[in-house]
Amino acid sequence: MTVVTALQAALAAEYATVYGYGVVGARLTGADQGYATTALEAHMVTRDRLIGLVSALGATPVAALPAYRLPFAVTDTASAKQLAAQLEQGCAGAAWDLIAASATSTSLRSLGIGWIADAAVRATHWGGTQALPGQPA
Amino acid sequence: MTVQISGRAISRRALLAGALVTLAGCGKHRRPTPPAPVVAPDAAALTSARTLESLLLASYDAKIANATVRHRAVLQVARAVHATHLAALKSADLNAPDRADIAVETNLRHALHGSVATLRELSLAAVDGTNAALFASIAASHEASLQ
Repeated sequence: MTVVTALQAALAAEYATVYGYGVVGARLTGADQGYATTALEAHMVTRDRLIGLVSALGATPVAALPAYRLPFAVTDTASAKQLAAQLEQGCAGAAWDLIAASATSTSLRSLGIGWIADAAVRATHWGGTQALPGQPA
Repeated sequence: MTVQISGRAISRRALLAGALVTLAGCGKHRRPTPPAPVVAPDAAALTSARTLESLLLASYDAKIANATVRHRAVLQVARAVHATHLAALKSADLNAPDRADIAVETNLRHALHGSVATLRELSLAAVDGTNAALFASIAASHEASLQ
């Protein structure tokens, strides 16, 4: 996988995650909703960063889809948390690929290392702990 | 036929016999070229990461031995995560020894915290991309467990 391909895949994952957190936030209240809002904002920052990185490499950033099919119906707090965990695990997978595609001691690899940690921490918060976050199945 | 060497006449048969002895001698003492050692990329980094995980496992074992029944179950779940990390690191380096001699760190949080920084550095410096991702993933898992 090339760096551009990995960045584009990460961008696509971030679009889906931003969309998903909109659904998640609507089903949560209190501290959970606050955490979801903070996570959403962080993902929007990452999304914008990825757009800039792809453009800087001379490629056209992939566009967001008009809508995304959710993997299951989000009807309550439990399913909202489950979706949030799944979204974060997807982002961890994209970060894994980016790290693997990036060269030694580059800022890109450093970014990937930070992103996989952020995703793992948030996934754990939502109850989606993984022994090896992002590792391909 | 004879050959003159240092003024002495040596028969062809003597020369051949001498050559055969010489060849036999070479065969006796020549050692086969040893195969070049297969060094896994990031071998030293993988060893460092395995040592970290072994240290954490030993620390968990020490905690589990003195824990209440309820706390023991929680610790055993966390320990299993690190056992998975160690197995993944071993599968990334087939030359890995079975176990390393390590000291036990009694402060688990301290050990986990320290391991995050080290694993991140190993990831950044790794030559092989898959190893880099593995180190980063383990660091991320440790960081998540600190929350």
